[in-house]
Amino acid sequence: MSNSSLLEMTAAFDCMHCGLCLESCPTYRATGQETQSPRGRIALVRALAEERLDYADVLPSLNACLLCRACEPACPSRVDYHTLVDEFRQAKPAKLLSWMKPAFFALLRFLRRCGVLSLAERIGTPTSRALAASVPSQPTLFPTHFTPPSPQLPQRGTVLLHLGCVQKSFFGDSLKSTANLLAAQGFQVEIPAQPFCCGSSHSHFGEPEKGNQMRTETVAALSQSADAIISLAAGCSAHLQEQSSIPVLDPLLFLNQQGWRTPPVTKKLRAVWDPPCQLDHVLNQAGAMRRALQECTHLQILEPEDAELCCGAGGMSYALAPEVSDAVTQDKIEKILRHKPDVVLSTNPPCRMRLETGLRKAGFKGEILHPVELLTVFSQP
Amino acid sequence: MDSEKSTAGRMKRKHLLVDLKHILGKAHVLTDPGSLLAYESDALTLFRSRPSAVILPKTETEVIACAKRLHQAQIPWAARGAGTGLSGGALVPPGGVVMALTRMNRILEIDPVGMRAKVQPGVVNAALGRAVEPYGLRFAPDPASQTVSTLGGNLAENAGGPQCFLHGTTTNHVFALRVVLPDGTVEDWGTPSGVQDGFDLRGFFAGSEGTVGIAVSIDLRLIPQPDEVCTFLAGYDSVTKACEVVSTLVAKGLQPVALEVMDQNAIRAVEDSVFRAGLPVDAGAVLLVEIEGSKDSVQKEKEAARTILQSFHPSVFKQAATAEERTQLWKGRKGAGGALGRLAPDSYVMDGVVPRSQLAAIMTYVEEVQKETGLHVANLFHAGDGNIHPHFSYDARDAEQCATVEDAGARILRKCLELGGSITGEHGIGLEKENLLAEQYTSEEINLMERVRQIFNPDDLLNPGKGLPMKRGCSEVFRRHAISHG
Ligand SMILES: Cc1cc2nc3c(=O)[nH]c(=O)nc-3n(C[C@H](O)[C@H](O)[C@H](O)COP(=O)(O)OP(=O)(O)OC[C@H]3O[C@@H](n4cnc5c(N)ncnc54)[C@H](O)[C@@H]3O)c2cc1C
Ligand code: SF4
Ligand code: SF4
Repeated sequence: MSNSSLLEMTAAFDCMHCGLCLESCPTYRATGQETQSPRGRIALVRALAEERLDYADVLPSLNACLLCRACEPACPSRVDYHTLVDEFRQAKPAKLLSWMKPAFFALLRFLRRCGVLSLAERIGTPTSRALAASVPSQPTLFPTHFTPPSPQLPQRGTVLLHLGCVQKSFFGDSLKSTANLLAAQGFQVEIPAQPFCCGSSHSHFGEPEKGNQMRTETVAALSQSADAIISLAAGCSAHLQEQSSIPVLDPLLFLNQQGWRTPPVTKKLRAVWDPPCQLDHVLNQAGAMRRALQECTHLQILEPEDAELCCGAGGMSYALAPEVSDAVTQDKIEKILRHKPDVVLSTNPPCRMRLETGLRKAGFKGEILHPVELLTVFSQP
Repeated sequence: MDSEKSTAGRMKRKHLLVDLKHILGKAHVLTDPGSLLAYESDALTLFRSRPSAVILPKTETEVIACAKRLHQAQIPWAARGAGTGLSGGALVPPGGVVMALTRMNRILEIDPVGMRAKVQPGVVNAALGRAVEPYGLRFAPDPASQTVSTLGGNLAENAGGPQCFLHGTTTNHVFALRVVLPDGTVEDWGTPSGVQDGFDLRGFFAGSEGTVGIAVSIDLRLIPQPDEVCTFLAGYDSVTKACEVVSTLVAKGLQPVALEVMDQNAIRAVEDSVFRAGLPVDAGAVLLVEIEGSKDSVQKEKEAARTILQSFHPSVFKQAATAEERTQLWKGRKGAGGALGRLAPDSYVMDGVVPRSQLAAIMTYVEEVQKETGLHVANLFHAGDGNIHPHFSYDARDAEQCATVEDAGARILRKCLELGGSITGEHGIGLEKENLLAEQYTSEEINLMERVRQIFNPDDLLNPGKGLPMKRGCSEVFRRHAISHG
């Protein structure tokens, strides 16, 4: 993109440099640096547009942005921050995108199992180390030919299960649990053939057209008549919901809306849940999810202090600017561990991976789960 | 000769950076073009000046070591908190070093019995508020920037806010502080008990705009949360009417904690923003009155205030029924500046003071200036203190508009002086108003101030050119936006 088309980006000029967004930004909070704040990032893009800075000068600051969008509700000028970043990214799409293929995930699973990744976490470039560390310790693939159980009768409705690239490649077990839980609660679970990835990352990392096209294909694949599309990834839900005419929901949120047929039972556990940014700042569902969790688990769901701040998984900061996202994550992990949890819950795969990396490093021995597994793994007969 | 000199200069700078990195660690000395640009302005974008390095100390020891090294290098430098200042206070002349104190953000001690807290300077005003709330306490100064601005910056600018009408500005809430002087010497001023003996250097520091030293820890006064709070909203057909109501309230001996006025342009901007507070968009002005204290006293004051407010025939009159409603009203008031920013690419907030009795007169004058210049002006002000904040909306890319705005601002401030007021209420002199200062004070008075400052900052290397008119020849080092923009 040329500087002149950047100049047309009104968002950069809507910002009046007041700084009221500073404290909402996790990277600013973690580093104290203006360059790591929304105001700083906007100023840099504006300077690029005005030819007062080069692309390379601006990139490190933008690479570290978590795209968590916490700065948007804080802004009195309603600066359209994420659009500004999306447009900036188009100049040079992130290289990592081309790797988001089934074979690459398969390779990562293999390397994890044979122990190579543990080695790679210690040697290599900061980016490759961060990538290696982010792969879960026991990744499970969702089987290609999985048949969901029939719904417990009387059937209440039908849902479509969205798999999602990371979810399907690393957290296949959660998807199975979800299908089982929904069936047990009286829903017919359909798993239509669908594209491997919904394109959410592409949209935010410089390939919006491709991202939109992938979304269109995914939504088309999931367009049968149904009560909802069920997704375990808040990031995918936010992306798909922009286009889907039926609601795209987390399974627990959906079941809580529908009412539980037989209330699930869970062990008495200290559970901490960290709300994903996409759920909180984009879908505005953090409150509903909190209630759903409380109601279905009957546990007091604890949240870390400053729960609204990103865990460090957002964007591609973890790979492109690991020193910044590590600082953000460390802060989050400290706040989670203050509650002395038995389990840590996450409702978005990238967050779950990020939290797992951080929690394991800090010596946490408990489980890190999607809450749907809390209901099945720990539910007593 | 010249090139020799610049080579020597480069070497000197290189050595300085090596040493600063040694003191702070590489990650906390920023010299890349992006970082330097991000620190070229505070919230007053009219001025820009790119530093040669930004340093981010974490401890008092690091601040001292950096100060000594900078002193040795004879390089101009300045502290910066959140950079929300509205007078260019946190800018250094080109080549200077900015010391950002945002990493010094620990609350060191909360003493609920003594009702005091000790903080590092980078603690955010609202973060202290949240930390002391469980003890039934609060920190009274409440600048509209309190969710982000630092206590160090609040102290240096002697920040005020709506509640300061009753409780006083930041200086009234500081017991003691530890200061690192420009040469790295450490001084403790004030006493933790709040009793001041000898010269009140603590009070001298408040409002010194970062030109005396760096506050590295601050002992603050906390006050109890009130038993009861009552907030009234009254809409009137004109700003002058609202000003009259304010004068009457005060003349009748009422002591509200806050008395705030917003004109129609401000009301409309708020109602059209995320801070929507249910303000009457057709009113010429709204007046917000807040009363707090014990149950009995609030009951009495409330009735008296209600009678007066209603006697001026408000078009709208209501009392906030719940805590949420009250919070929403204040969010609206505090978000007004931001909401106004949406109207044009740039906005310029003026800060002037008149005796309360002259509020109506200055508002009439602002209106005249507005009509003459055709600029969009919105007014919101701390009426209790006679502290006005006209907000101009403009486009900084238009040099002519910039000049008009600056000229309009200066005219209004001159009028403030003429009416017996002052050219700043709470945003400080900074870079912006030093020339006007010469109109408020005689040259003897300014010389005296200069001499006092020289005792602490003899080489004028700490935050040069702020607060007092610059020595001849230096005034162009901070380039104005419109000029540097090209
Ligand atoms: C939207 C908005 C609303 C505002 N509302 C108000 C208001 O209601 N009332 C009000 O009074 N102001 C207001 N301001 C102005 C500004 O927020 C205050 O002046 C605030 O106190 C500045 O704090 P800061 O941390 O941003 O300091 P900065 O802007 O970073 O610095 C301000 C000055 O303080 C000096 N300084 C900072 N820290 C230290 C330290 N530790 N030791 C010595 N010097 C130091 C700097 O050198 C500089 O000269 C507002 C600003 C904005 C953008
Ligand atoms: S709050 Fe909005 S207008 Fe203010 S600095 Fe941040 S992005 Fe800019
Ligand atoms: S999206 Fe998140 S990380 Fe990026 S600037 Fe906004 S608040 Fe900061």
